[in-house]
Amino acid sequence: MENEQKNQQENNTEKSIEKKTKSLPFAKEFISDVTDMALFVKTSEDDILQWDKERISESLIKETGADLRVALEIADEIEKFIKQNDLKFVSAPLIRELVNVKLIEKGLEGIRKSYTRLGVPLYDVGKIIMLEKNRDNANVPHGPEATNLTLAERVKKEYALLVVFSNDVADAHASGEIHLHDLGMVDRPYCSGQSLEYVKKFGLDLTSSLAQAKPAKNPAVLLAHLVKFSAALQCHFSGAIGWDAVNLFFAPYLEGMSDKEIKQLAQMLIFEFSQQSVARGGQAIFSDINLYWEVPKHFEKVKAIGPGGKFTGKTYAEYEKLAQKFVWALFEVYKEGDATGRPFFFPKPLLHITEKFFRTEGHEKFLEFASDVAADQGTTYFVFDRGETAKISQCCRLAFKLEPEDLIDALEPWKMRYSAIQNITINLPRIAYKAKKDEKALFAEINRVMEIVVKAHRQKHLFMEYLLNMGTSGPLGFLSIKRDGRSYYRIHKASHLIGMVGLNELVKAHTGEEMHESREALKFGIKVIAHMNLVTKKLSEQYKMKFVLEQTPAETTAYRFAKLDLKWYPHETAQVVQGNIDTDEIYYTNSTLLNVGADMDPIERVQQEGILHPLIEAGSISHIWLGEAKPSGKSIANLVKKIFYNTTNDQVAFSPEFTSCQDCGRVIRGIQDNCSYCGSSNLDIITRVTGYFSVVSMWNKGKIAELKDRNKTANQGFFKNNG
Amino acid sequence: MVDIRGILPVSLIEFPGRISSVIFTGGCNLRCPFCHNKDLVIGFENAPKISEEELMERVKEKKQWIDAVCWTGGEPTLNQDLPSLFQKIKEIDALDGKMEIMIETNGTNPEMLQALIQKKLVDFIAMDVKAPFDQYVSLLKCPENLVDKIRESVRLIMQSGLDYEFRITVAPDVVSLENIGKIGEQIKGAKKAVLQQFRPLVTLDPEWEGKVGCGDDVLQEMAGVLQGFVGEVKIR
Repeated sequence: MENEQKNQQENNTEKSIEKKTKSLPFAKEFISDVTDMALFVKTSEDDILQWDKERISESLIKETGADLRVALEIADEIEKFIKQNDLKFVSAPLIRELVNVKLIEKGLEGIRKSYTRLGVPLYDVGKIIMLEKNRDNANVPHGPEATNLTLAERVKKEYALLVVFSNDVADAHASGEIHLHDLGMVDRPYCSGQSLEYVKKFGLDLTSSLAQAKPAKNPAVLLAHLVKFSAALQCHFSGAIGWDAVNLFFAPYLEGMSDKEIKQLAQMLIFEFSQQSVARGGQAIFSDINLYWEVPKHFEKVKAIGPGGKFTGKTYAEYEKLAQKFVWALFEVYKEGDATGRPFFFPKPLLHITEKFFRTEGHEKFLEFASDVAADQGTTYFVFDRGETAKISQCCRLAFKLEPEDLIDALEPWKMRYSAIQNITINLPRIAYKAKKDEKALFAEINRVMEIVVKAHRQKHLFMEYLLNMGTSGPLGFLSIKRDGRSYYRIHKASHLIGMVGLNELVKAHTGEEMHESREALKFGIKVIAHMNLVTKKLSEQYKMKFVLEQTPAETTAYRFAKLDLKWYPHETAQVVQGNIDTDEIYYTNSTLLNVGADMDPIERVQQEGILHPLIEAGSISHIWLGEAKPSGKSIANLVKKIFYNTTNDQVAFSPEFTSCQDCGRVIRGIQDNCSYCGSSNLDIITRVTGYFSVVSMWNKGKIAELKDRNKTANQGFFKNNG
Repeated sequence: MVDIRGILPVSLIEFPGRISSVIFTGGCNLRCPFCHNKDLVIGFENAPKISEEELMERVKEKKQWIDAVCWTGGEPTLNQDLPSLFQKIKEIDALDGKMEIMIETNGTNPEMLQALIQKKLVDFIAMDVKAPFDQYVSLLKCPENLVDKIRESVRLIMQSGLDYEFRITVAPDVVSLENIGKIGEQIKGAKKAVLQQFRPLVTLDPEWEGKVGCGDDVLQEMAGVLQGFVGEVKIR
């Protein structure tokens, strides 16, 4: 009964919030200016003499729309309380909480919600500043910029859950039914794919308040523009910044350069990106560069832009050799690694393997070289574009298939700017627990959860639209600049991602077997994803929005869902969860991947995981964990070619492990307890966490548990010499 | 029937550059104390045996993927039926038209190697050279009558016209900077030698599990010495 009442109240609040959402919820009067009052009552006795209860009633009316009578009554009561208790010191936050208590007493829940103060307790702030590493993201180091990011995210996250999203959506997130990614960055879109042509054509125009730069006239300046633009984009997107066909678009600037100069430029590009940990939140820019050996078909006849932003009079087909020189140089730098030989974490090189790749002269040698880099450093991502489809990749695995209209845009490549507004992940095991092995119930529950996800996407979309509509003077002014007649951010092209975690555990909870354990179990997994793919299409049509399935990288989500399920469904979760419950090192298998420790050879894994890839339109990946093993580049090239022709797998990466000694600076293959050169135990373990490399000490418990399981297969012998 | 005790369906390492299936045969005529496949040397009879039919089936399953089948052990050349089974493997319609076969041997059965070479049933031979031949008996407890056979195998392999490599595992107290030159001498003129680091995981003689391999610098130095005798030296 109580619960029902609570739900009723919440529904009312939700309605009032939704009503506001329709009538400019984010306008000035809604974002209350609490600073004044805070300053006014904050500290000294002098100030308290100036106490004015009207500030309370005024703020109540302004912030919540409470009626005058109620507001005055509350202000009176608060004043009485403060006088009665002879308080010498009150702070604005304290007054606000006293008001909230009154609102509870009077049953005014709707008003209380709007009157909420967002913030972080003193204790937590201290901990964040002094002690805590950000465990949500192994790409955030610890430092003043990083703690700024963490603190700001805490507040924005609360704001998102209270204002941007409706109660049912916020509850679904809080309970772990779904995960709304990057809530702390609710005022930005998620990730993006860019074209260097834009920077070449229009120069660098960051915001109206900064100096504008004309189109670059030489390669080093273009490089500087590229990196600065990426840093600016990182401040406007929560996720990855991807760049299309970087080696090709650089080519017109490389004419007349010696091999040595090209290598130098390649080195600058990689170091500039990888050392940008001075940017937002002390984070390196999560950056991807898409690379091609051939000139992609859709760019062959495109007029090339060269120095000064002018057309060179040639088409891109004529720049094949220069583009090849540059991509070769980039991989040379990747192979060498940084000053200590460690792999570069960013920018991630996404090498596209296409039908044309295998028709292009010199591809064997180049593939072997890129594979050598994969074997040595693990850096290369092999992206497979089969048939004649073209893709742009960004983020961990996200890719956009180019539609016919995009191919028209491709003729003017500066228009090719893509983005996903938001990423939402569904907790698949939870669905199975609820369905209790009833298949009909299971699919009905999938539909229900997907409806919530879509609702959440519509709410975020609305919010983004609102911010973008404020134009160049608004908070997303940078994305609203119109250099080619359209806003930089093309919201009409944006997609909305629906991800998933723990397909493997859903299947186990429902059928009793994990996907690698039987044909039937794998088939059921395929059925679930096929169904989700269908529902996604139906919802896209219904709402005229682009919803697409993606494999969530799930760096934190795989752990968070498992933890929450263990709390709400302890019995069911204990049966299927991976890792070790006793040590709290638990996780669900990422997205649609098979058990990372399953006793299967890499070919079976790539093949079986690849069956699902065509159903996941925004892109997928299979990881091959190498552990300390180091196959030859030739073997990897051989495998990559066969994966292209024999499977439907979208993308493959090979992940070795490294130990980097903090004392002597040497890098050793494999996970070691002691440096084999100097004996030190002051070591960094480096390997791929999800879609990128990082230092293991930055990982959360779930991923550490996963790492232990990965090694079971890596060390089984597929890569070991048994001679 | 060939005594098969294990299959690794896919390896990216065993045959460099190729994707291969690796077949483990049971039984060996040597008892090297540092051997790290002891389960295939002692007590292998208790492990389940894999029939030739099953082997063929499992290899065929992977024919779209693998370029080669690698034979190791134990000592594969102890199996007299090797040629007929290799013949069947050669008949598989592999991706590039031919299925390659690699064999790893201790060199104690030159007659078998000769037969395989003659019938074109082997494409790559990797032979272990474990110590200077005159120390095989003292260091490895190798039966005396086998030492000449091992010398014979080295000669055969070098004249075969096939791809091959001689593998030298740098086992502590067996291979050292003092005798590496002697080892080089006995494979003088060979195309390729591979130095392998000793890994003390599981060894035939448990006493060896505590031993530590030499440093990378020592390996480099040995490679330098070998370079004087053979065409190419690799460290693995």
